[in-house]
Amino acid sequence: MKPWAFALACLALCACADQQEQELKRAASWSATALAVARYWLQGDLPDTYAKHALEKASEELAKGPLPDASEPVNEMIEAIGKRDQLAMRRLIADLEKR
Amino acid sequence: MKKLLGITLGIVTSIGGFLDVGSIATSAQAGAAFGYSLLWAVLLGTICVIFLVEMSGRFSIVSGHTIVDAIRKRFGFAGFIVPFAATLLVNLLVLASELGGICVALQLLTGIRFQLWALPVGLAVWLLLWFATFDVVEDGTALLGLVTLCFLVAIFTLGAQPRELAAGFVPRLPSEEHAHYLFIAVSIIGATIAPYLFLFYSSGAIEDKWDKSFIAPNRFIATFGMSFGSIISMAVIVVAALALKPEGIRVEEYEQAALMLVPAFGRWGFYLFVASLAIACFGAALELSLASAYSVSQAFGWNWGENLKPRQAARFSMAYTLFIALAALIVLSGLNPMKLTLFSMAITAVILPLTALPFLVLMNDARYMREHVNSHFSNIVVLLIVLLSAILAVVAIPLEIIGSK
Repeated sequence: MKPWAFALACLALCACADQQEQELKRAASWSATALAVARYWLQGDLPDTYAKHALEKASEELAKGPLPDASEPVNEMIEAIGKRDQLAMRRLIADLEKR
Repeated sequence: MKKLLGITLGIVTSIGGFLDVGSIATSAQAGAAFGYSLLWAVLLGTICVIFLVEMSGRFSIVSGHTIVDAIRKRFGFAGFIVPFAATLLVNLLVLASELGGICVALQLLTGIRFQLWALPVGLAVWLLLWFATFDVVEDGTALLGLVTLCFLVAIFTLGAQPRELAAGFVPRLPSEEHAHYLFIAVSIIGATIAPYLFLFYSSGAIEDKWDKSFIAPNRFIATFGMSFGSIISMAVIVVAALALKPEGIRVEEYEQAALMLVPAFGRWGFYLFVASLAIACFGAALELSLASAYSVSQAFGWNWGENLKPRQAARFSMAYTLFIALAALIVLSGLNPMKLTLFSMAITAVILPLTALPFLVLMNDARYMREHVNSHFSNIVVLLIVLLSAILAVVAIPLEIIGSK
């Protein structure tokens, strides 16, 4: 095998090994996104339309990732925004932060 | 005095027009995932684009030709068709990404799905090109683009550490995610050295009737306009590193990127991000549509010019109409705008040698450039950066595809 082909194969192998780790990182990132959106919404820093849309996206991404249960509290956050229920949102944020 | 005003306007419009969907997406991803450590990629791309933009202006001033026109004449149709087709294809993908960027901005604002905005946005871009003059297209949108300076202001509000910033200019592989790091680096370089930029600039110099008295102002505009413009691109990296990375947010979609200005400006930060994305993409979509129509018209020897009425340059107008329609259809198909953008930018880096190398040959041809041929230094800098970017892109794209499956 030519050295450049060997180097490329090694890199490709590393990329595949990273795949599972990547999926976990992706899920963690969407959880963090949901948390940040919820917190900013509570502070009045985000409009309802965007906050709801961003949380729907986060829920969708989490549901198809390695930890699908993580989308449940995000769905509750979407409901809280729909009802403009700040108390419920505070509770959900606290729950999610504990995890 | 008039020339001084022209230079100032040129620099200001270069700053306002520097950011596009590629710079926003790649820089936001870079900052959120790797902190400041990809600042060097913007610097490398900027050095190359300063040389290329200066050369394209100088070429049009001295030879009276545009780049496309001259490549066709110098290399014949057979030598011209491959770079021409590759550039047009990439322009189409990038135009779709820009239209996608505007549609996503509208989705963030209204909650209405981005695909539904594809046709109205395409129509708005087309209407402006149909009715406006070159100056309105070039200066108007770029002046509005100054809203992107908010990223620079955000750095001071969030408080970046100068020593850490300086370290970002030294290329260094991270401890993990090498393939992704490499892919983002080539995407940043592709976003910074987009071929449409210097093709557009070269045609613009002819549209604006630049004569030899513009050789020095051209150098000034290219150097300062592009340098200051790239600072905004770097600012996006820094803001993403300060606002998103500590929260553990990686930018895979624009919904995540939209949060980056909120810590600095509160609710206004969200609106500033949406405005920056929409305006930057709108300006770039206009330039891309024109650059593509210029290329097609110059390749086939048609009448061209944004200052001409559509009936005076019917085939030129038809070319940008067709381009916008095709790009709008790509957005309408529902392709993920962020992924489309990142891959378009990486492919841009792959095809760079196809346009940059024939252009370098022209810049050294005394029949076109007379006493204004390129210096060895300019040749070496452009050659090295373009070839390095293309090689990195050829390695990084398959690895990114394997890693993301």
